Amino acid sequence: MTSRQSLGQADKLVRNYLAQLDAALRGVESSRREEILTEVRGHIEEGRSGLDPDDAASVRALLDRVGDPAAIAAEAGAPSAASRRWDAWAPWLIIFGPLASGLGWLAGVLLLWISPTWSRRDKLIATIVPPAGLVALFFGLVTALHAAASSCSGTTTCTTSKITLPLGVAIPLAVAGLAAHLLPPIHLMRTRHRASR
Amino acid sequence: MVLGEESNWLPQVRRGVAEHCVLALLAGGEKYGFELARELGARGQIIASEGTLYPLLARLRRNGLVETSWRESTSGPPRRYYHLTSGGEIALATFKKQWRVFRDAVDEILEEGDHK
Repeated sequence: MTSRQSLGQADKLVRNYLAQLDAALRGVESSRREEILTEVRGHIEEGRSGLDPDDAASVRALLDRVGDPAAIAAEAGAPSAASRRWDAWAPWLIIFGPLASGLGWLAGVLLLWISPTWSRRDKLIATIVPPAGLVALFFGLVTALHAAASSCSGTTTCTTSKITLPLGVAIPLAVAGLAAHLLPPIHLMRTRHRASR
Repeated sequence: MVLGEESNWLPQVRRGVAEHCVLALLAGGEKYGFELARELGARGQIIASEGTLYPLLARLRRNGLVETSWRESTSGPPRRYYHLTSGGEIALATFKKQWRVFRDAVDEILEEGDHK
């Protein structure tokens, strides 16, 4: 039946439009974003109740009058696409920056903080946790190697090191350190991906 | 800035003026978003599109010039009604005075230009 078909189509138009608006409002403070979305959704519902709500053509005309999501977002003070152009780099620099040079990491953190894509909380975590994870990883690896080395030789020759950890502690510490180094940047990538859909 | 093209000056003028037009529409009593959007949209030029009204209303609310209350509707979703606060009334009164002076000054300059 055509009416059934166009009902689905009209609903899909509205859903797509609202998804576009939601994406365009990225970077707008969340309670404000929610307020605008709720109001525009209500506006569209109100508009549809005044016309044949299943007719795709009239729903399209209604959405045209509501206007370009980008214009609504601009009115809401949403940051422009230009302010996100470095987003892809930040997580990678945070992961590999410290290995190449400290400057790479610093650049990653800078790009992270100037972008409107991520929340303050995500930024804080991605700044503090990965370096701490890296330290734990190194410490775990060094003490694990040391423990492995000292276990084969006698106690008198191998007590040179200041801190020693048993293998059962050093290895989990290294693994936890690796996870702490990688997971926050991976979370950044996923958040960014979700936001740009 | 390239003068003469509508896209250059209109959005800038709109920014301040549209807010006060909304306040003026609310001076007669509370209204909900759809109603306001249709009234403004029907006149043309005041808002770029109906949807841009909502960020503007959110801003007015945040600045304490309007307040809102939810009301059930018989025909559709619940409606958020907007009404002026005393701050909104003062802002509107001030704008009215300033706008008349501003408008007269612009008209005068444009007419002088025509007579030359």
